[in-house]
Amino acid sequence: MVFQQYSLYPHLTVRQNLEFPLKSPLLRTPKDEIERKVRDVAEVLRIDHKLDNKATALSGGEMQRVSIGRALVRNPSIYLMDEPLSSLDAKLRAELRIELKRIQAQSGATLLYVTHDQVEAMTMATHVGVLDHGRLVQFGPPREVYENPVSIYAATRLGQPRINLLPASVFAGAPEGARTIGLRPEHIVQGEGEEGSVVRVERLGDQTRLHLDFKQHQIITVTDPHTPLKAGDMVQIRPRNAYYFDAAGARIV
Amino acid sequence: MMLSPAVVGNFWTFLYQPQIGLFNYVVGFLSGTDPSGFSMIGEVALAPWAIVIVDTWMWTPFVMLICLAGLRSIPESIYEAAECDRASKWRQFWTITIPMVLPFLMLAVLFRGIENFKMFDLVVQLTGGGPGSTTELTSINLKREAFEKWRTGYASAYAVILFVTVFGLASIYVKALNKVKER
Amino acid sequence: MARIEIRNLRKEFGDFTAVQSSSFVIEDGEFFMLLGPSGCGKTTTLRMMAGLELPTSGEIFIDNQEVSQKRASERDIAFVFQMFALYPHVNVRKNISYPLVSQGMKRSQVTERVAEVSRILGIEGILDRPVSGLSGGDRQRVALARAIVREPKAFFMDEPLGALDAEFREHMAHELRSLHDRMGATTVYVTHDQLEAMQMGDKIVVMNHGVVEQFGVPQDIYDWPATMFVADFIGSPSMSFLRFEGAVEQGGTSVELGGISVEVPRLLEDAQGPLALGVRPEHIHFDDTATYRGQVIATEYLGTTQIVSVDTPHGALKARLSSEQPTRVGDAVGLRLDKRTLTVFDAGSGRALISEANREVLGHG
Repeated sequence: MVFQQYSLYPHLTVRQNLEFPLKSPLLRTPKDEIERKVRDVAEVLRIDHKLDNKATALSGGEMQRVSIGRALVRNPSIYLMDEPLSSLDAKLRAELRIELKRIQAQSGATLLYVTHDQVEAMTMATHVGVLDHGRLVQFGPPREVYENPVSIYAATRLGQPRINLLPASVFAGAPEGARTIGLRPEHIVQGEGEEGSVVRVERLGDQTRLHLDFKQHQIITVTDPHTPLKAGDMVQIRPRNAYYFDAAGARIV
Repeated sequence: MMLSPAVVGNFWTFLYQPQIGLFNYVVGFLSGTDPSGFSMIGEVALAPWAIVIVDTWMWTPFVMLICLAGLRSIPESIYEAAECDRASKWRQFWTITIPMVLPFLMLAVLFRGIENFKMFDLVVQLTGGGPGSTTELTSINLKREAFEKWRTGYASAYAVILFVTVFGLASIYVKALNKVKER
Repeated sequence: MARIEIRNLRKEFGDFTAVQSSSFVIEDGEFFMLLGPSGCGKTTTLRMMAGLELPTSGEIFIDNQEVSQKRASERDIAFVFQMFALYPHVNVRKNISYPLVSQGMKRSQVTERVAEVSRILGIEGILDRPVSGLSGGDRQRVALARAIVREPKAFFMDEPLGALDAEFREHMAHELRSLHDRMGATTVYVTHDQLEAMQMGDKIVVMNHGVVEQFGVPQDIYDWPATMFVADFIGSPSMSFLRFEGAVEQGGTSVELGGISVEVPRLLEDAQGPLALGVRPEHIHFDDTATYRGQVIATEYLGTTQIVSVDTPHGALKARLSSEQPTRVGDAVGLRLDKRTLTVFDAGSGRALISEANREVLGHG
């Protein structure tokens, strides 16, 4: 189990922290075996040069790696991780995401990972379970959950910027019983269809987000990073591959 | 605060000595009167004040420590916010410092209040309850009733009433304190 | 409202120099971002502008008035703190009215202003509640209300969204930005979150180790970073670097990567020694005919796009591709880099070499 807070033993060195689970009397691991395992894990997590530091003398990222390492040395059949990356800064999080995924792929172990960060869920998982008030509403590979959400709730969990939800009557062509239309920002074609006005242009570098006012509804869509559009301009938009949801929020296929 | 009240009492009897006492000397020097012309513990009008002075001297550090803890508990950013909100130092003191230290001040008053009900050794050493019965505090009075006059029944009842009174007053006070803290 | 100018601002704490000679201009009505990693001096800079810290040397002009040695209360500014710094012992209404009462406004007028501001922020319903029971978002709104109620010359905000959770943060960021759009007040905002800075800012200053690394509009900083630090700090994933030893000369239009020539915008200066070719993830395309090659080491699915990590002889690259494009770990791929978007860096100093493409952005120095 890896906790959100590092939960290291502060009075021990990194090596002692890593050895701790192996020294459990139930396991009776031989000394050189312990030595070898700690070294391997430390290498994988790139903390081998810090093995003799006190746990408290590490940076946040290093502490988290040690706490992951402590779970790894034992080769358990299942790893339980509770938002292990949430307390790290963005750069390190991106690095450890790949690292964790690599470790998982290499060891072939089962990893149950709790997160509220959709990027973590999408990038690391082989399967994602979406929970809504304790109920599992959808389960499947990230791509399936993203491209084929079963409900409004599942559709809003993944996707950045978030899916646009509008009354189904805003656009023509809604199927019978549809109450809400869900449009991912990339599912909005520009240059044809009906007109909306640009409220704000948000330039993020790799993409530019357009905040549109469309028939009194807020729509966010993405466009070319160097778009000449500015606030006040008019843009024609048309939905493509929209999702329709009924009054209870369930998907209509 | 660090000394036993009995020791402090003993000590101050020397300071209050009309002929050789430092206290009388300093007061006489500052006011231009005769230092041996008054006796702090021998005169009915002065004896209560003699106790007040010693008690204040003895417990000021304690109250100060509590206040300091209170002052330290106010985050610096609150003052910075007030500074940006264009509050003068005077207004900062009245609208931030005082209300935020108030619970601590009240706590100090509570501790000192309870303690003063049971004040005994200091006064016994200093004035012995005299002159006459001028400084005979409840606790001294109680002790005399019980162990000098041997009116045990009366003394027991007295003690119980004292306990109930202190307990009652303290409870009311703590309620008020919690109300201040909740704000 | 006001224009703010900073000239050669410097702050030392004992032996430690927190801010080294910063200079920049904040135009009237701008939403201005101070961006950098923790400990880079951005908060110190902000606090000096607000008057909570006095500079060691340098000048600060608010509305063409030199204020660097004046106290915060003399500058007519408002500050929003990271932990909000609400007055905990009084209720919401008194928190908001505090700055008005401080400057001696009439009671009837105070009531009117508080009502108006609380309507703008949608907190009319909680005016009589104590602040201790409020949620993070409501605390944030109260702190904002307290800041805008006095209509100061400028707002200073020190990571005001840092204490909120991720989902709500995005919501508040929008709220804050639309509040700014409505009021048009000069705002200086400190953050370490590059996405927040790109999303909300009209202009960004990127700081590192007390030094201003770059100053400009978000898109320019993203496209044409002045230093490798900026290139690495902005963008998610950030710019990838292909490091190599070599020489380039003025007028050159390509660099040699292990014997393979890669086209770059025409360079306007010479350089040699350790160099780095910087490329943004979305400017890398997989093309089997390309001569520069690498091997896929990881893929990350992100919905519409995927991030593919590629190992090359000159370091790892991250490419942003459409999710539709099939990629498998272990594949050998040809890499075509969009030549119009590349930046060559002097890897020793970290500085970007001036080329025809970035001349306009970096040309002045």
